[in-house]
Amino acid sequence: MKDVILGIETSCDDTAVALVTSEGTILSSVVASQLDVHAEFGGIYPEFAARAHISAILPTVHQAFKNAGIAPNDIKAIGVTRGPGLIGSLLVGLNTATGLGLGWNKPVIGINHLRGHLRSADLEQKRVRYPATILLVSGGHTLLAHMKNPVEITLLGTTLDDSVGECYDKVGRMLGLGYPGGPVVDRMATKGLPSIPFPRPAINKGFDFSFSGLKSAVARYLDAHPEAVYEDVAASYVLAVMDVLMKKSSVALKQYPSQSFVIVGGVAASPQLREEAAKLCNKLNVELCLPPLRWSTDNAAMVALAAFDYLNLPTITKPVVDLQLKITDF
Amino acid sequence: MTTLAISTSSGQFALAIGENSRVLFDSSIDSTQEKGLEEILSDGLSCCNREVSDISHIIVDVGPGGTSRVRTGVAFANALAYSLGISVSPVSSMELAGIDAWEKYHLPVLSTVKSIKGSAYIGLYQPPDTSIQYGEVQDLVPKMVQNIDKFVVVGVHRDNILQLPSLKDKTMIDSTLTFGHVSCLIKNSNTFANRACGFPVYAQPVTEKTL
Repeated sequence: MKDVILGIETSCDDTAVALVTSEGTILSSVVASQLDVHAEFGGIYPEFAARAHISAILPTVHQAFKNAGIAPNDIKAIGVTRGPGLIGSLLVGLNTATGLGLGWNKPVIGINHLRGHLRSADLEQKRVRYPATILLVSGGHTLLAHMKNPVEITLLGTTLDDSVGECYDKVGRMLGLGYPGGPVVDRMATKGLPSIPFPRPAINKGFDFSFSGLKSAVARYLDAHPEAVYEDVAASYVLAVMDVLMKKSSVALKQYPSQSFVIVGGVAASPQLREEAAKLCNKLNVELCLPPLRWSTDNAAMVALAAFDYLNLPTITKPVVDLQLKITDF
Repeated sequence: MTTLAISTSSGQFALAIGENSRVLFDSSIDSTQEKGLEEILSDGLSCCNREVSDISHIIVDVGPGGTSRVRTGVAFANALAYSLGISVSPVSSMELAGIDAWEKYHLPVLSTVKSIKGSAYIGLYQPPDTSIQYGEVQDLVPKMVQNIDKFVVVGVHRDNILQLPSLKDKTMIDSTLTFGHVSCLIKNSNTFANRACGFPVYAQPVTEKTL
C-alpha cells in the first residue's frame, strides 16, 4: 500500500493526525483535544497550546498507525499544516513531520491549512462537483471562493475583521455561555425570537465580510438592556449572521455558475446554517455539499487529502511556517 | 555509536555529531549562515560520511532559552528518535552551560536565562547536579549561592550578578559565556545515557511549570 499520506495538523489547539488514501478513505484519524487546557481562558492560550502539542504529538502519530494497521513504510508522504495558524503550534507539527520524514525517508509537504478545509468535503466520499462555490466559515477564517477544480481557486471575498466563528465565541461569552460559544449560541437561538434588529454589516457590499460591528452591536444592546432575554438576543444574532452569509453566497452562486455549493469550517456544523444553505441551494438548483460534522472543524484527514493535490505540483512545498498564506496559495 | 546533539536554546540552531564522546562535526564553528535543522544535519552527516540511519542516540538541549527555538529543536529530536526507534536524552541549557564552564574553571557554575516580565531562569551546576529556579535574579541568586564562596557566572545577567551588593563577599568569575556549546553534549554523552527516554515519553522543553 503506497497510496496513503500521513496528515499532521497542529495549527491551533488540537493535535490531529490521520492516514488517508487518495480517494479520501480515512484509515485512521486521531485527535488529542486541548479543550480542558484552554477552557478556563475562554479562548486559545497560544503558549499552552504549543506545550500541549509537543507532549501529545508522537503518541498521536503512533496511535494513528496502530488504528490504521499499517506501518510508516506503507505511506507515500507526510503532509503537514504550514499555516496560517499559531506559530508555536505550527512549529511543533512542522518539525515533528520533518524529523519523521528524515527517519522514515519520506517526503514532507507543507500544506496550506485553508486548502485542507476546501478538500474536507471530499473526505470519505467524493461529494464536490466542479465548478464549485465554497464558503469557509470557522474560528479563524471567513471567506467565499470559486473553485474551477480542486486546485484552481479564485478568492471572491474574505473577512475584513473578525471571523464568523470568533464572533460566535465572543457573543457566547457575552451571554455567559463559556467556550467554545458557537454550538451553544445556536442551541440557545432555537429557543428565542429574532426580535432585535441587529445590523447586517456589509451585506450589500461585494463579497467581503465584516462581523466586528455585529459583535459590538450585541455588546451595546446587552449594556443598554440589562433585562434582555438572552434567547432572543441569540436568535436575533444568529439570524443576522445567516442573512449576511446567505446573501453573499446567493450573489456568488448567481455570478459564478457552480454545480456544488460547499460549506466547510467549524461553523458549518451550525444547524441554522445548514438549514438556510439547503433552502438556498434548492432555490438555485445547486447541489449542497457539507462534510460530515466531524470533518467540519480542524482535522488532519483534510490535510492529508489536500497533500495529494500537492504531489502534482512542479516542486514540493517545503514544511516551513507561513502565517500569511491566502486561499489561493499552496 | 553515532550520537547527534542538538542545542537551540541560544536562539541559534547548533548541531554536533560524534562517536564515543569524540566530536566529528560541530555546526556552531561556522554558523554565519542561518540554516534549518534538517539542512544542518544533512551537511553534518555528509561531512562525517554518515547516514541518518547511522544515528544511534540523540541528546537534545531542552532549554530554558528561546521558546520557539527550543520547541523546534525538541520536536525535531523527538520525532527523529521515534522514527529511527532510538532514544533521546534531554539536557537542560543550564546543565550544558555548567558543563561547559566547569571544564575550564572546575568551580560551581551559576547560569541565567532571561524570561518574561523581568523574571529569569537561574541554574546552579555543581556536578553531577543542576538545580533550576524561576524568579527574579536579585532575589534568587543570593539564596542559591549562600553556601558557595567562589563560582563562575554564565548568561545574559552576568554584569548584573557581578555587581550585586549582596554578593560582594563572594568571588565571582565572569565566564564570558551566554550559553554552553553544543559540542559539550557530545564530549559528555556517556553522562547522559542513563536518562535516555523513548516512546511514549519523550524530551519536553523546560518551562516555569515543569520546574
